Amino acid sequence: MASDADSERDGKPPLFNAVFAIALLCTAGIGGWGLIDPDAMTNTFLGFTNYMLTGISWYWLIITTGFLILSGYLAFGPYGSVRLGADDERPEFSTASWIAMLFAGGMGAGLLFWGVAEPIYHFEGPPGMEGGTPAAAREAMVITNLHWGLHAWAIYGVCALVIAYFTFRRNKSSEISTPILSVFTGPEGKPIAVIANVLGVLAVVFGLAGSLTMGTLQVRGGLSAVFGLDATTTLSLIIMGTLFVCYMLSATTGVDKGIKILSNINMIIAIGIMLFVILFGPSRFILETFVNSIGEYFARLPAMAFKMFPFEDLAGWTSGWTLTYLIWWLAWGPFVGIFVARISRGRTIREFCIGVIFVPTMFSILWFAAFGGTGIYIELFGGGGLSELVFADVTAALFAFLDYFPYGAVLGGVACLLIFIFLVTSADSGTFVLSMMTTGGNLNPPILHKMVWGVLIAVLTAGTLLTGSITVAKAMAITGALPFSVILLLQIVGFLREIRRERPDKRRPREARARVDVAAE
Amino acid sequence: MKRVLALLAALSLASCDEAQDPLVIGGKDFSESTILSEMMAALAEEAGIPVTRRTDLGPTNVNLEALRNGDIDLYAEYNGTGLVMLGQPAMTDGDAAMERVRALYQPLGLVWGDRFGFANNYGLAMRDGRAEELGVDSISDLVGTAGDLTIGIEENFETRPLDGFGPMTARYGMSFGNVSVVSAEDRTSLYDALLAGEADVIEVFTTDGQIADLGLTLLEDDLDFFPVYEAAPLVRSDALSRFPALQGALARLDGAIDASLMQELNSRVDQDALAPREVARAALADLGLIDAATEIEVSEPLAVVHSPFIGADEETGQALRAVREAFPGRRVVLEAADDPLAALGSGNAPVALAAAVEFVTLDDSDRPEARPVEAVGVVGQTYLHLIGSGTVRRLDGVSTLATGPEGSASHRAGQIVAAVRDGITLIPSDDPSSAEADAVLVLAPLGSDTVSGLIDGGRLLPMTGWEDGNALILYPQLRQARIPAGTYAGQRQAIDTLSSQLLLAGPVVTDTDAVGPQGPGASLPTEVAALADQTVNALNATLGSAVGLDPAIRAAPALAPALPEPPRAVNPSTGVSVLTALVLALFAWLIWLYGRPERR
Repeated sequence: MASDADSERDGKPPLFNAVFAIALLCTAGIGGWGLIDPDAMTNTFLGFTNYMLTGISWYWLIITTGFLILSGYLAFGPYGSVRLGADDERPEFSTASWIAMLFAGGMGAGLLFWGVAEPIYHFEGPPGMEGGTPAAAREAMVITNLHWGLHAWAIYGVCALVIAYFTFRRNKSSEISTPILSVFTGPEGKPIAVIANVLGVLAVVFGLAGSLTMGTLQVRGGLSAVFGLDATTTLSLIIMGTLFVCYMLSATTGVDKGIKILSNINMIIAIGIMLFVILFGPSRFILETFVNSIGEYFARLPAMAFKMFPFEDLAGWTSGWTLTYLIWWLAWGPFVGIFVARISRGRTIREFCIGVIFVPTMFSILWFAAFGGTGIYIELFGGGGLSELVFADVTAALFAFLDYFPYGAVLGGVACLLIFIFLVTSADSGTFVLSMMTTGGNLNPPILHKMVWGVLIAVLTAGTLLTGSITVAKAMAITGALPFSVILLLQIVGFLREIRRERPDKRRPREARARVDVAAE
Repeated sequence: MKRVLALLAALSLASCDEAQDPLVIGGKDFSESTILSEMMAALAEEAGIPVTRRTDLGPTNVNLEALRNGDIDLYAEYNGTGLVMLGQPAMTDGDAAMERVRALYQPLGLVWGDRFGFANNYGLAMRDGRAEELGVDSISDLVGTAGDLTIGIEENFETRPLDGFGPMTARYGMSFGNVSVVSAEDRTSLYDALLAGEADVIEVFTTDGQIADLGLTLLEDDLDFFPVYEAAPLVRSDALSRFPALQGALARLDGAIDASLMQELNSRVDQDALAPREVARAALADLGLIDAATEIEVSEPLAVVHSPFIGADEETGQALRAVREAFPGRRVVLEAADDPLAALGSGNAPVALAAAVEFVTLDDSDRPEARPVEAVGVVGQTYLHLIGSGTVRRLDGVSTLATGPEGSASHRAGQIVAAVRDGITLIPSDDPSSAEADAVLVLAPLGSDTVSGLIDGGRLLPMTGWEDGNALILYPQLRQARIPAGTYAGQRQAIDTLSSQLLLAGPVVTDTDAVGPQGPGASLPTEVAALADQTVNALNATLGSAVGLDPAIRAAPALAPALPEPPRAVNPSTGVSVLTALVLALFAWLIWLYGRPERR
């Protein structure tokens, strides 16, 4: 088995395999449908998503909370010291670059927009409470951190771990189907694997195109807020064109050059803006909020992670906020997962879980304390006026928020740049991942595939921009999450079956032993 | 790194070298005082004086005490109040009052600066249209008609012994038919009563923002009855010697602000919810006292879009007030547009004021088709005014009918009229009064100025024969009504015509998406949002309309009659149950897959 995978990776893989062909056909079909009759496609997809979200709301909360519990068990249970690679391997990337890359791939520009807006939203209207009070401010920080914290990263972490374990420790191909194949070892395995891979590709393609459409519109909103440009479709297409050139350059140079460099720049700018807000904003208030949020978030996590509102008749709130967030993270799961797996070679499972789940969560708690905390500070003590802007237009509210600081216009320009780089890093890692997925898990996929997928995503994005409907973009971005959740559960079953062989009382899998040990045998 | 440290050091030094105590500016606890304090602060800063703001400090006695103790260096005071605070009666002559307070305050070490140029006195105000109707400009003009009028006053004004309601009526020699008194904290409800027509005249402060905002007529105090309360800076004399530039800075405001400017500024703070500091700076920039580049618009205002024929009067005033109540903290302005409903939902226009006829468009076969709008409140009634030019005396004689431009309410009404009555050609025009046509059609509230102007050259025509045929059923947006005799000058008999309810309208959105517009990748307002039920209820609470919504018109869900909810079935949805069963089966299958022995 192991030698099979080896030969497959060492030898030149076939350029056009079944997954590539089927996925390309499906993409063209759905994309064509969306361009010809966007309303029908949107209604079908969103109708399906709505039904799934409201009909089995509990399922989404329980599986994502389940992922969090599972990653806690893996990090601190008996498998914590299992290395994602041979026993003697060392990490491929430095810890700083690693965290920068996974952050840039996983969070994106939403962090900037919702950093101010989301705490303000919950502060003004927390579910089942009176808004605008100090208690509401506490609630707002906890809810925001619930949506952006451990749950989000646990979804990514689990998606990544199941792939990374099989790729680097068991020397199997880096595909969605690999963990599933270890469950279905019989003849039924082949078709199931193809279906899983194709669904994975579709979720990534449309998730990325939908997200890029929204991102382009966000950059456009930023440019018109800061530089007063007219928000036209032409401007969107120019932004899209620039974006295309940038992410193709970045993706074709490979993960250790373009993607790494951009992610590091991205992280430096993000930390810079955050420090600026902390130092030139209400510093003491922000850090008090940070410290308080840590305690309150972790103390209330057990209850919040299972919190639904069956008695209050607030199902609309749960699906509109918490579940919408979880679905977004799930939709981005396949590509962020594979990408995070790709850059995590050589780390132990404990190291992996702490780096992928805990560190980013702490960073986002600080981030929301800085941005959201300042927003709430303005509402509570600074004369207010921000919440109306947030309710009117979240994109414009970010730039209005930055205007409260010295050099607000410069800050706005930097924020625009940051949003743009976030988009590029999402798009380049997405293109990279798609090429991996359609070349049988090749860790350094050929440029031809990157070109094909990069162009296809650009075409889909441009088409969605031309329909001018944000609803179409949203439907494309998140619908893939629903079937993918089943695939992810199957992957987890396969992973849990295989990892039993790593128990300390058992002999380690041969391919995972250090080279010295294998040689000595 | 070294450079950063040097920069930090420079910054901290810069903040320390100003060892001198800053100028402390106080202010009373209402908008006008805060605006004046901010203006003085801005000009002092312009003159290089460091300023600490302690605006909104408290009522008069707190400010005066703080000033005497040296806790603050100056604030804006009224000369009338200055007299009263020292136990002197207020005076009606401003110059004399100024001389008197200067002399009285000098021994206290306090200096009165130059007056700003306005006085905030008691006064009487009326709606513009009503004042014109009665031909009233000054309080003396009221004497003849006062017996038929209702006056709204506040309890303090009622009981003031020297300059209150009783002395005023005695001085002018009049008595009002009806006096309605409200408590001091309900002062603003006087304006509501005026708008609702419950009062003809009300007592106001002459710089109240509502006067400018609602376009009210302030009656001239032609007998100089009311004492003056002219505003001027009141400064500690040691502050003037501490900051030699201060006197010059304050002198720049000498006579710069008249009463109507102050009304406007108060309105921007009280009604539009703008920050006093921004309002003050913008006003100074307009006056050319500071650099215009510092003017900032704080937030986009919400617009209540209405037809230009419904002028700045009763109906628009009510709509404006209702929208302000429903969107607290937002600046709300009126905006005229030919087709108000087309502007709906563009983000800053959540509500429009439109007649029921505007809720439909006619298709090719003249059938009404509903537009995507719903009524959220009833404001009043508009009437179809058919005004025949000189020779035309009956509707039958009309073959060309001038209306407003395409899409306007009067054009839509004209289309319906033309669909029912054969042989009428519409002439849409931006200025229907000058169009070459047999008659002009205007949809406007009763007593509209536009109509009065048009009637001068023609006469109102009755809408005869509307009940023949099926027009009443086909076009329920127009109902039969009568313009009472004497509504317009020279109109001797009642005129049968049609009317259409004047409504506040919001966009209809059939979006029941469970997926929220938020999410890590999303940050854009999806499409147009319908008005929330709370907003609709708040609008109606303020409108307080006695008339219900015409059942033929699509109403917002909050206004539509709610059916009692039947008890839900124990199993409300079979589909969800099937889905749940599938998910449970999935979990069972996953557990089985995990637990089954490996095949070797």
